[in-house]
Amino acid sequence: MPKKSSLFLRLLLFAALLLFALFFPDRSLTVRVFLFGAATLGLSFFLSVCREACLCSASFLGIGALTAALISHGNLHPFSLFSAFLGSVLFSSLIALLVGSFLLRLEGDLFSLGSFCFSEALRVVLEGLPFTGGARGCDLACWEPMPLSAFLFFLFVFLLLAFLKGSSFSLFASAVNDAPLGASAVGVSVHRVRMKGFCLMAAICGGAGFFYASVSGILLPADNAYLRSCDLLASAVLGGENNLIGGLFASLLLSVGEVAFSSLAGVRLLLLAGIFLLFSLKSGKRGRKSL
Amino acid sequence: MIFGRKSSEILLEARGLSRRFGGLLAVDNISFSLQKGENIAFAGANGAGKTSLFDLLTGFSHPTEGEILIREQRMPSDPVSFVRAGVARTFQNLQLFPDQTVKEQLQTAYLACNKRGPKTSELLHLAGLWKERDRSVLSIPYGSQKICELLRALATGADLIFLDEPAAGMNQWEKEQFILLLQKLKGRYGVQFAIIEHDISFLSALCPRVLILERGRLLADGPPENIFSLPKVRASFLGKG
Repeated sequence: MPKKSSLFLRLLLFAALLLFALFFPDRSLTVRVFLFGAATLGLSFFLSVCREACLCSASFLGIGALTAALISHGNLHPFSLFSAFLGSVLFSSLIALLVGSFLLRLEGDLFSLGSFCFSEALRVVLEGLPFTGGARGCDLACWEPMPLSAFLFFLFVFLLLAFLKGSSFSLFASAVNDAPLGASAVGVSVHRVRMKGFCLMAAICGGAGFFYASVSGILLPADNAYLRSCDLLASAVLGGENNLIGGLFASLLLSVGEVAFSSLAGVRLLLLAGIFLLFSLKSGKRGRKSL
Repeated sequence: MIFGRKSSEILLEARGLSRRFGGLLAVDNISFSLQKGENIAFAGANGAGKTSLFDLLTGFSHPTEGEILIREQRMPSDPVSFVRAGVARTFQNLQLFPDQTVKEQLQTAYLACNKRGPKTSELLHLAGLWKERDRSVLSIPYGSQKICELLRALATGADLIFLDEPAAGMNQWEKEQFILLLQKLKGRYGVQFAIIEHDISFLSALCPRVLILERGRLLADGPPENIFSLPKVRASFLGKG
C-alpha cells in the first residue's frame, strides 16, 4: 500500500489532471497528452516485463486508430463509438498475439530490429491498401476530441498497471527478467509472460489509437511508424521503467514539446538519441539490455 | 536394457536417452527408472554427462533420441511441463532472482504452481530462513542462497527435486546441516531427491542408489557401499585401478 502522503499527492495529481481535461482550451492537445500518456505507460510496462526496446508500439496505436475509423465509419452514435473503441483494443491485441509469437522469440538488439521491421512492413502494407486511403491517408474519423473520455482511459490504464504492479504477474515478470532459467525451473512460462506484456502494451496503444483518430484529422500510415515509437520509447525511458507517474510527466513533456518546438522536428531523432544516451548511461548498472 | 526395478510405483523412467551436441555425444543411450520415494545420485568425472542428463530429465534440453516418462506419462521437452508434473530442479550456478527478497523467491514458485506446494512461511521457518525473509536474496550468505533455491523448488509442490552439485562451495558444517535439512524435508513432505555430487560421503548419506556415468554412458548402478568398490568405477571415477 502506498504511504498516506504519497496517496494524497496522487489524488491531488489526478484532481489537477481532471481539471486540465475539463477546462484546458486546446482540447486536441489535452487528448494528445492523455493518449500518449497511456501509450507511454503501456510501453513502460512492457519495458519492465521484457526489458526490450520496442520500436513498434506506435504501429499498434495506428492499428487502433484505423480500426476505430473503419468501424465507426463517421457514425457518431455513442454505441458506434464504443464499438470502435472496443474494436481498436481487441484488433490491436490480436495483431500483437500473431506478431508476438514470432517477434518475442528474439531478444535484445534483434528484438528491436524485428519490431522496427514490423513497423515499417505495416506502414508499407497500409499504404498499399485501398480502404486505408494509401499514402494520402484515411479521413473517416470525424468525431470531436473527447478530453474527459481520454482522461478516464488514462486513469483506467494507470489503475490497471498499478494493480498489476502489486500482483503475482509482477513477481513472474521480475523472475523472467532476472533469471529466465530459474523462472522456467519454478513453472513460470517465459514466453507466456513476455507475450502477456506485449499484448497488454498493444491493447493499451490500440485504445489510445481510438483517441488519436479523433485528433489527427487524416490518418496517415507514416504518422505512426517507427519515429512515433521512438517518441514513446523516449517517454518511457525518461519516465523510468514501470514508473507510472514518471511516464505521465515524460509524455506530457514530449506532447507539449512536440507542439511548442515544432521547428525542431528535423533534429528530433538527434534529440531522442541524446535522451537515450543520457538515461541509459544513468541506469547503466542495471543495463536496459537494448538501449 | 533398463537399469532399476519396474513396478507400478515408478515415478520417473528414462528410455534410451541420448543427447548429441554436434559431434559430441553427451548422453549415450541411458535408461533407468526411479521408484517413488527413492533418492538417487549421479556421479562421474567432469564431462561424464551428468548435467546434460539433468537437463534432459528436467525438460531443459530435448533428447536426440529416447523418451522420459513421469508416472507413465510421456513428457514434452519443456521445463514448465516437468514442474507441473512435480519435477523441479536447482542449478550448479544459482539461478535466483536478484531483484527479489528471499520470501518473494518462494512466493513466485508457490503462485506459479497454483499454490500447490507447501506455504512459504512454513518452509522459511523450517529451514531457519524466516529472519532473512525480507532481505534481498543476494545479501544472504552463499549457503543460505543454496537453501533458498532448494526451498523455491519445493514451493512448486514438487515430489522430485534434481539438485545439481548442492554441496559445492559449502564447508563441512554447512554440508552436514544441508544433509539434515534434506532429510527433514523428505520426512515432512515426502519429497525425493536426485543429486549430482562429487562428495561421496555427502551422496552416500542421502542416496541408497548411485548411477555412475562415464563419457555419457551409464557405467554402473547400485548402492554406494558396493558401487565404489567396483574396479571399473574406481578406474573411471576415482582414477584408481
